[in-house]
Amino acid sequence: MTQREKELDRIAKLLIRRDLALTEANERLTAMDKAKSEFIAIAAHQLRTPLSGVKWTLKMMIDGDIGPITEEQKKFLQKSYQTNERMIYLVNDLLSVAHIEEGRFVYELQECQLEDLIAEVIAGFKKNLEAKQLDLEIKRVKLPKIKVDQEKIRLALQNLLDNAIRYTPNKGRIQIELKQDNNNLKVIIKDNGWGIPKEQQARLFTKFFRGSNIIKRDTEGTGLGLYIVKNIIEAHHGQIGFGSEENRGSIFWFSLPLTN
Amino acid sequence: MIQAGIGQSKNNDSKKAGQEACQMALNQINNGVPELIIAFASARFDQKQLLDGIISAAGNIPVIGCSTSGEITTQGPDKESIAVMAIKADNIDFGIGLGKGVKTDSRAAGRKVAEEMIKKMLQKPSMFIMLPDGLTGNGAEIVRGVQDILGQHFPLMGGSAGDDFKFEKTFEYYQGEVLTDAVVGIGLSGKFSWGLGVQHGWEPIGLPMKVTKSEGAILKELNNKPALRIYQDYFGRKAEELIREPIARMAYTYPLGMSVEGSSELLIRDVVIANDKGEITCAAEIPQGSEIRLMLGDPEKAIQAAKEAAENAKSQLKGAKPKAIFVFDCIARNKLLGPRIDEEIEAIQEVLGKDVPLIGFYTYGEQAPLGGNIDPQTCQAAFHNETMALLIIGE
Repeated sequence: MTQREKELDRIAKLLIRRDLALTEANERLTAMDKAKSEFIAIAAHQLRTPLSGVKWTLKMMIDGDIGPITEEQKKFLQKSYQTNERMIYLVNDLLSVAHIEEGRFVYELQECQLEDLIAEVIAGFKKNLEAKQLDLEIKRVKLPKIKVDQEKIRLALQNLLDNAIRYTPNKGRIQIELKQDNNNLKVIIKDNGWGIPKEQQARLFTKFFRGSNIIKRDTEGTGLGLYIVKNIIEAHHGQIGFGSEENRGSIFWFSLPLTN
Repeated sequence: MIQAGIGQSKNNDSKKAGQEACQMALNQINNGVPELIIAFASARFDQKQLLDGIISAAGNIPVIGCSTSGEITTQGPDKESIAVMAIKADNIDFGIGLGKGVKTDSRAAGRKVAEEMIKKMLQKPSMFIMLPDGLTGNGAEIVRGVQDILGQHFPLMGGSAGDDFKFEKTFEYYQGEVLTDAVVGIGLSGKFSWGLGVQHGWEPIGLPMKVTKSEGAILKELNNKPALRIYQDYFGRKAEELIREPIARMAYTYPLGMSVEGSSELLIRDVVIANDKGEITCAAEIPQGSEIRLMLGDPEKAIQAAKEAAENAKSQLKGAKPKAIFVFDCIARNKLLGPRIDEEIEAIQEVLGKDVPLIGFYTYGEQAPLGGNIDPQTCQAAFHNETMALLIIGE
């Protein structure tokens, strides 16, 4: 063996050993991740039933169906109801993530008018928009029908609009634009909120990510919303993107192909 | 006219799974009864119940197939499921065959499957799809047995049955029978077009080594040293570690490659087991005197290879419209690609069409002509590992 061949042999062995170590580490981490996902799915599933039970019991008490209550008692019960609702959202997010990872997020495509779906989602956030006195502007043109899973796209829109509302200060502004971009329909949601720190933007669509500036202001939120949104859009063969500047605002967009 | 329907089920009730998948495939065939049912299924099912379920839906239609290490359909890769293709073609005559006793005499089993298939056909087949047991016998010898009957330059394709990456026992399906240690096959003749692609994309690394002693699939010495030394040296592991654990699990992404005439890529050989004498048993023979290299996989190259295999197959169709795709894809590629596994099948579908009915499975070995060459004078089918082998049938 020449000196050059010896050198080549040594480098090849180093490379293989490093590759093997990484492969084995990857296999271990994949197995751990799977176990963790399974645990989350089971825990979330077990939590959902009692939370629903608590929800309806509280609702009956608040509505006076079980017996008369005082205004003060009602206030406490309403707070409990809201907390319970947040827990239900969290559990639903965890279950959505578990279903995505297990490949059990089933998509049923149906033709729909995307602007109608967006109008419905906005209507659902009417109270939140009013509570924060946010100015919502919608720009749209007449769009062709598109084949999507309406429930999943509704969930994606809810998550994006919920983020825009949640992370924009009172009296802020949110703009929603719908347009056709060649063979795609594009939805753009822009806010003048707190934005995402630049150094954290690469992790934006990963599970459990929450911006450090947001955690300081708002302790709620699962950090699962954008992960779910990205999966939904990509399952529709669409694209998702964003731009953000801290304390200036964020712009999120997604496009869905008309050919699905 | 060729029609193919695809069905799939993950029902935990084995009989219902077979029935559901078969019925789903049959429902996609318009006007008339299909000529053949092909089934690929996870070994997790009760195999007899599964086959009973298929037959309860298929009636008198011939059924053939095998167990797998993952199933592939038009919807993409999957696991722990059963995938079924129902095929109806006025212009194709199908014949099926069975050869038993692969372990005792692989070549005789290869001859038997081909002989039995020919007897059932009106004319000599122009293509043969084989599904041998992936854990017993010498895969290359089975291919040779088939060639003894059909001819040295006959184009044959196929995949070796798997068992969900457990390496315990595989199953072959022939009519109502669940077999092991067998090879089943389908002959096709008539006026139809076909094309095939064979590519792996693995790259050699390190210096070439000479096989100084081997016996069939048992690699005894490399460069006059015990063969296991190659993995000891490259992995930096002791021989005991490699013998104690099935080396197959560790080495599937580092197979051996040997140069053969007729292929620009090295022919891959998987390592199955090692013994305390330092001998390595491979999935098929490595002739004494061969020059071999250690191979390294890369996801990008693996996906590119699948795309090129599809392009090669498409070019052989000479403009005919693809009607059915068969994919025999090594389980090692599935492991190499991990979460990117969908991309490999998507790459094929981008070339051949996303709506063309597709069935296949993750194998323990592939059978296909070297380099995807189908020239009747020079075509040389061989036993491959870690390779993407695909066949398209067109009008």
